Amino acid sequence: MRCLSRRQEELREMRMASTKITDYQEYIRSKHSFGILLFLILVIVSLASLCLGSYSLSLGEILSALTGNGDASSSLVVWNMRLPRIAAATIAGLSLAVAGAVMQCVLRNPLASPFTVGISHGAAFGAAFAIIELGAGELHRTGEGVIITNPHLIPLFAFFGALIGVFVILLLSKLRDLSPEAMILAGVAMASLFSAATMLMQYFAEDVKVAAVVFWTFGDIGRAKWGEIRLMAIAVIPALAYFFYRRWDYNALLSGDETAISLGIDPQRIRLESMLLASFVTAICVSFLGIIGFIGLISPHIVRLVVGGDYRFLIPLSTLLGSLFLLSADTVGRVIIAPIVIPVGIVTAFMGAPVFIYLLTRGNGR
Amino acid sequence: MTWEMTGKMTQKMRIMQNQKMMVKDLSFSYNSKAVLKKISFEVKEGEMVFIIGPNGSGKSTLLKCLNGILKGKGAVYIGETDLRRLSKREIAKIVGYVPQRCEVNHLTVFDTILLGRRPHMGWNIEQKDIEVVKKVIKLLNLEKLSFRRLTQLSGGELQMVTIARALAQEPKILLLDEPTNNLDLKNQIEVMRILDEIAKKEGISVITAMHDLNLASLYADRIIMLKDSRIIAMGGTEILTTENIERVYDVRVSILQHEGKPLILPV
Repeated sequence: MRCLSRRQEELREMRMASTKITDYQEYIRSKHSFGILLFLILVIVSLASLCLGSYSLSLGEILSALTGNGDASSSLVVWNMRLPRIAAATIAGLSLAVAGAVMQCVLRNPLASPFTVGISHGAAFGAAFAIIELGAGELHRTGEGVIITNPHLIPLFAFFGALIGVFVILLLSKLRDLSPEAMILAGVAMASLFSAATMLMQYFAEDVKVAAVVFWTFGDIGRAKWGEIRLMAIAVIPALAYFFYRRWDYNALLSGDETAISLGIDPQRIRLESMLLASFVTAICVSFLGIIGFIGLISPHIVRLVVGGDYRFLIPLSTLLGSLFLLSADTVGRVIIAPIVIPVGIVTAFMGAPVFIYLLTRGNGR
Repeated sequence: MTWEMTGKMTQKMRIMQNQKMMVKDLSFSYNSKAVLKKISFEVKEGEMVFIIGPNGSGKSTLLKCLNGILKGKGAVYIGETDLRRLSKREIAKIVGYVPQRCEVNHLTVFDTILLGRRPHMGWNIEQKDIEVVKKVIKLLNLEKLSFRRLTQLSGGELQMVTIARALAQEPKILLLDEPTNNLDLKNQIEVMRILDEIAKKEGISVITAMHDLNLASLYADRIIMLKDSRIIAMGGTEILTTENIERVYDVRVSILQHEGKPLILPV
């Protein structure tokens, strides 16, 4: 009996091997189906995230609230609390993931991401500077969290901070041909430098502002209201379009700069533009939501494991997976010890650190 | 239509019609050390040109100056247009380049060859791009490898894929840096035969840097011998003489004639 089933198994394997993918369209379709799968899961997780929480709602209640027929309290929860969270998590997740995917290519470093090369910390430093020195935000005692008094100043300074980070990284990768591990160590050094500068500012600051910075540094999705979400979306859409337009160029860069030039591509220009845009979207996310680590590092790697290193698929699929990860992490953080909400930055760190260590110990694997 | 526009158009048409490459007084130095000194030569349509010379004589550097990877002093003309006046993308439509080493990544063979269409591409690939890639794959017998990743290929297969990518650019001029280095005898001959065929059939000028003198002798329309950054001799296979080879390589050889081509044997 067992012998027979093994024989059948063998036959099936032989048949599988003989039906090789010969058509290119079919090959492309297989990648698209993974994208559709990710999208469906994202929809399901979004619905689950709408239902779950300290005030739990049924699917019916959510649908009536979404269509504008729900009662006041469920409408309030859906429209003012859960939907903004889902939108913010989706946008931030995709921004960080795509920034990570692009950085891994242009820095030729599988360990690169906004978080690991210190750009997030640079942005955080810039934001802290805006809060403390320029009075752009305060922590209110009523427990409402950080009140941003000047919504444009913090992103601006976060971007400047991120730029300092980018500048150092680009300089290091240009002047010294750093190994991937060495560049991450440089990132760690830079992160601690930025943290030290932030702490120095805190030491001399008023306690409301210190509390605002500390509270602000935990990456937290709940902070974003519709206005901030709109700003994030406006910032990330052109960047995404650029990254997607460059997808072939990123593929060419994988074969080395000389090959890229011979294919009509200017590697230096793409590297600079990509790093600036990646740090811009990172800075926007960090300035509204605080530091959220590891999403940008892991999402592209998992996509790579499934569909390979082709940036045509890597860019759109990483964005989907990034959104999915961040939304899941935020939902877990919301429900695990409800009614207390754990900031998502803490959840992603718990999720991401083991994966990061795995990638490091696996060596230079992509 | 303004005068400038007509000027631009005729310039483009000249590139299309006349794809002769002319190199004039090309010099290149790296960290103030001269790698190329006043190199001048011409390559006609459909010509097979081989650049030979010892290691470090500047063969690779010369090739890289011909498509703008490196920028030397002096001028490189394609048709009647100075290379410096063309954008990288415009150059890539005319000049294909096969580097000495291809960096391995996780792309499939098909997608790697498709990258050769990049200079012709807009926002997306078109049916024509796929057709060109399929044609090139067929030409180089790569059908079986189409959906393998580059990491799964042998050195020789990788070399063939790199050549295929350059051919997918549909270039008028093809530059190859030691293309037969990783290939076995059969594939060496196969690659040279295909290059010769496309040179003759489609009028593509093929410029190859190479160590194998006998292979060069078999296929060359013209040979350029480089030593110490200068051209020592240039011409048909008749320049492969014992004196020239001794001057360039510092080795003694004897030369046999085989079917009208010189055959070089070290002694």
